[in-house]
Amino acid sequence: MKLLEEIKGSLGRNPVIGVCLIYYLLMAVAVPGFFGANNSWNLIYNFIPILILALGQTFVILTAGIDLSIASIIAVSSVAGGYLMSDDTGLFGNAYAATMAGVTGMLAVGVVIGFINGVSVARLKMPAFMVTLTTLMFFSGMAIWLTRSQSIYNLPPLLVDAPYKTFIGLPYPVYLGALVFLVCYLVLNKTILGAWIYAVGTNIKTSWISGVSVSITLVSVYIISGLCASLGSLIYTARLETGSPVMGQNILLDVIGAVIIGGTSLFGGQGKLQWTAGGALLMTMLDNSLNLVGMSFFLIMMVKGAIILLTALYNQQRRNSLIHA
Amino acid sequence: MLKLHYIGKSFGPVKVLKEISFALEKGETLGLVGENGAGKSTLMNILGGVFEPTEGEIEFNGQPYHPLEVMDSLQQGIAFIHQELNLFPNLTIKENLFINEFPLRRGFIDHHDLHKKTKKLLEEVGLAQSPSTLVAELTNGQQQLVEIAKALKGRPRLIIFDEPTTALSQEETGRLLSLISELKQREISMIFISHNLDQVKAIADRIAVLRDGRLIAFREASQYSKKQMIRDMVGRDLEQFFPQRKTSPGNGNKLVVEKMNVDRVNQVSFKIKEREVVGLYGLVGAGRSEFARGLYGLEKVYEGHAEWKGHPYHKFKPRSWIKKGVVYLTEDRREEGILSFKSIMENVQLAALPWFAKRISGWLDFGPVRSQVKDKVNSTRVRYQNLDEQPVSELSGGNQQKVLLARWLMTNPELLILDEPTKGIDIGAREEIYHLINQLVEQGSCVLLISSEIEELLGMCDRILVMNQGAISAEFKKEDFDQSAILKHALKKVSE
Amino acid sequence: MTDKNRNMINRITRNSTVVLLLLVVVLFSSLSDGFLNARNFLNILIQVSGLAIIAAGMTLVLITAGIDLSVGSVMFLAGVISGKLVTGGMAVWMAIPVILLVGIAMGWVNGISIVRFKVVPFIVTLATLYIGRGLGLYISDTRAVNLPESFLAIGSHKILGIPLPVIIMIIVLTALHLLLANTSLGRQLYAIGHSREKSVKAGIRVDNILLKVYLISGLCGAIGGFVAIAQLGAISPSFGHQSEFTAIAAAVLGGTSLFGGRGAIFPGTLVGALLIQTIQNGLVIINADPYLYPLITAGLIFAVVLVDSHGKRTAGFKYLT
Repeated sequence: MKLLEEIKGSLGRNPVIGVCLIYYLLMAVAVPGFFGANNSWNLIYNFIPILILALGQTFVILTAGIDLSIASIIAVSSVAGGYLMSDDTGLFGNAYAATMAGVTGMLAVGVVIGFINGVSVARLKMPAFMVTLTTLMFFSGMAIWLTRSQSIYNLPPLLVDAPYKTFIGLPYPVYLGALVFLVCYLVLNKTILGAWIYAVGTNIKTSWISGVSVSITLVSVYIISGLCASLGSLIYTARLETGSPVMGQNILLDVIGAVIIGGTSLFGGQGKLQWTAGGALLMTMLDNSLNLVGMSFFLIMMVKGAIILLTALYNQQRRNSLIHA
Repeated sequence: MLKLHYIGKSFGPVKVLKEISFALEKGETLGLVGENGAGKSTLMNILGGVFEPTEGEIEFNGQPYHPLEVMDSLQQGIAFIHQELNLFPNLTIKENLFINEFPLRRGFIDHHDLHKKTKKLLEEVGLAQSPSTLVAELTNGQQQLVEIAKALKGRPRLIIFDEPTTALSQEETGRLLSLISELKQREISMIFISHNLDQVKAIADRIAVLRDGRLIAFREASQYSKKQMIRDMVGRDLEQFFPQRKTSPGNGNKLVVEKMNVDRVNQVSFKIKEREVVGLYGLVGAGRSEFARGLYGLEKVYEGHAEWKGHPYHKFKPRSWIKKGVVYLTEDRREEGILSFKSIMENVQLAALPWFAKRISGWLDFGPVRSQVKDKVNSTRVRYQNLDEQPVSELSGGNQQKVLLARWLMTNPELLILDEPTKGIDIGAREEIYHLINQLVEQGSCVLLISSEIEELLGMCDRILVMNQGAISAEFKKEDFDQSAILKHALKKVSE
Repeated sequence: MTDKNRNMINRITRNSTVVLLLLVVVLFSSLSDGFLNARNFLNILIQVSGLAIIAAGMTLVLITAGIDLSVGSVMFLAGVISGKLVTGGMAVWMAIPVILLVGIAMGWVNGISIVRFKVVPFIVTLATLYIGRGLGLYISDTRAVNLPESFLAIGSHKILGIPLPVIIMIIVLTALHLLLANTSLGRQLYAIGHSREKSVKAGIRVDNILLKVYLISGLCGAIGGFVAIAQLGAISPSFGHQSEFTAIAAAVLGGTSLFGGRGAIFPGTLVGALLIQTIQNGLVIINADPYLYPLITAGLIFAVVLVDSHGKRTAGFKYLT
């Protein structure tokens, strides 16, 4: 299919997939338990939500912004969904309605918080990192406040079993991930909005002069990021079988890491979804392999932080040398 | 004291300065005049250490002079007072003056000494403000005096003033001129760039006229009349042939603007007809771009009334104008024109995208977009290697400009506002652009051409408006076109 | 917006924080009897000392239009390292240079990445935030580090009747204030914050100065951390979490701009920190729902940044970037 060719071609100049392959092979040999059906399922299950979150973040970073609030969106989403769907709150007669309501509610949370972020950046002209840092703090606090730190249990089986159901051998989350990737790809590459996103990230003045609606563009990317965050929350909530107010607390590291390692520029205007997918895959494999080796979670945190820093340094060096060439 | 031997300067293929030679004595004040783009600023930037000459030598105080950077020139005794001031508005006068050499006492700033030294410098320039005043609270004229005080601090032997009086009030100008007389008495040499010929005649000992990068005249001020100066500034053979246009302006007004007030623009009214090319001439700072930008939505409009094709119109915003068929080619290609690292395709398609899909989030078939882009790129004759891979930053200035024109052409504009469209572009590309403009007008569009080159306007326009200090000071119909008269109206101070 | 108008808004916002502080005091006094007394005010002073110190360091960074998101992790890491050393037998007074060293080291990593490798401050300090937190958790094995009596003794030690934490706060804030107001380095920070380009043109050694500023911020993180743990007795794994955030809020409340070029420690940042701490203190005294604290603080910060961005909103097209 032509689309597939396009996707493969544009990956050509980016080493990220190559690095993924090399890393996979290395780990397969060096780390016992890495290679094999069991661990491959693990990898897939961990990869999909990070992929979805990172794709959303890519949109924001392409406009030279950042969305630090995704952890709080995940938490509030989880809590809202849990509340709507749980047998304990018993809001809906049948499980099907409850699940539908829950999912809708979760997605709505992502859209609303994303909208707040977007409007603050686009119309109130507040710096993206401060706005999203504030919403992060506010909504995390809200999730905890609403539930008094209690998790919500007894979610409908329809939801909870979904991640493990398969279709032609692949679990549902894989299809969700592929679907999200496809939709994101189409939006970014086959719509006016996509062209506007790249333009705004490259030069906001020029875009404005050329008739681009900067407001719509900026608000859209934050809504997209919020929506992706709630989709990720959907998967996590289903797997955890709990609506948790502290869900996603350390996710930002992996998500931003995925985007940066993928090679998308923090200054905006340059980057591709395929790159981020590669970066997300690498982060997932990194996390997985280090866990298997027995590294403690905080050491892993350090390693990830260090890798992000080094990748950012390396990317910046390359950019500087290009300018001076 | 200062000797220039055959100074030449090229930026790439474009030669901006050609064989400039002159000598300046100690304590002499030289007035430097010339049109926009004649090369005055470039020449001064060479003296000030910002650029290096591509040809020729300079001698200062008997020694060869090769500054590698601005600090070098300062150290050697040449101070350059730019038009855009280099002060920190969030700091006080005394802090600005000594920002990298504070007087210290045991590691801490000696505020007393700082205050005293600043007071002395301020007295030298005649500024009565307290040294503890924040620069942000000073008027333009006062800020300029601070800048001069800063320059004087280094005890320079040559001070260059670039258009010092443009932003000053009458009173402040008077003060500046008397300051310059004082400095003269201290045997400090000065070069004074200005468009105000009266001022130049009043304070200069000798006057130099630059035209197209050459030194055309270098005479005693007392023996050089304004009329002669103007003639030397513009008088040139029409090296360029301007293509003839086959149509003439229609009758109906396309756009009518009344009493527009923008920063630096005062109650300007403007009309343009179908198939008309209106030129807007004036010096830098006269308000031409500010007016156009205000109209288009890039500057704040305080007052103003517009009518497009007979209907009142108030949405001064780029997106709305483009929908109506009015487009703006900005002066600054790099910052506000091209998307530097993006391809030609991405650049050209930018403004016209909304025409190719029903909704912003809806499916966009790039097939038609591509063919339109190719079509426009061909008709504007852009020379390129690869439509999708080549970043626009790699193209020459002329080709970049054509890419931008292609972008606008894709929106089928009825009125094109072109702000210095041929600035910094080679002759070949210029001609192509002129042909393009004619084609567009023949097909029914109209053009507002903002330019600093009188001949370009004379060759292309049906009507020329001259702006001076934020207002329109003269209008010339085609039959009345007169180079000297036009320049005179641009130079004349409205208050006279 | 002209610079003149902006200055006026600055003055209003700066004074408005003091007004807000007074209002808050009045509010809580009316809501509870336990609030308005000398002992409680002393408590507030002691409680605010950690925050004030890291906010002061943050102020300097913000003035240069930079940011340091890693101070919370610096607090944590410095505390954990020194805590472990002391429980392992080191004398308390020897732990102090260790703490300072940790702060300087983190600050150095930040500074070099920003200055030499030219990575934007917020990505660098975001990364060091995780690296620092991770390292600290590793050293403490995710368990709370219980500090020996000697630490707490420092916390409650008094000189001339004034608790040591407060004294340290006064010393650090005064030192930084003097630095800002009376040294070349200090004044040049404002220049850099206004325009890096102009500063380079004016001959200021920008890179050198920026490196120092991040070192100072790291140092303040460490000192602030020390002062905070001296009152707690134990370091939990979430110690210092999101402190950088409240530090930024304190600075911005005090008149420092996120966009650089503006800010002061006295009264500015100190009043900002006091405002935040007083609200916290008041909420506790009136037995407000503790789950509401982050909500209120976040709301406050949002409002503050909203006001700070006023200049960008009114400037229109010119400030688009």
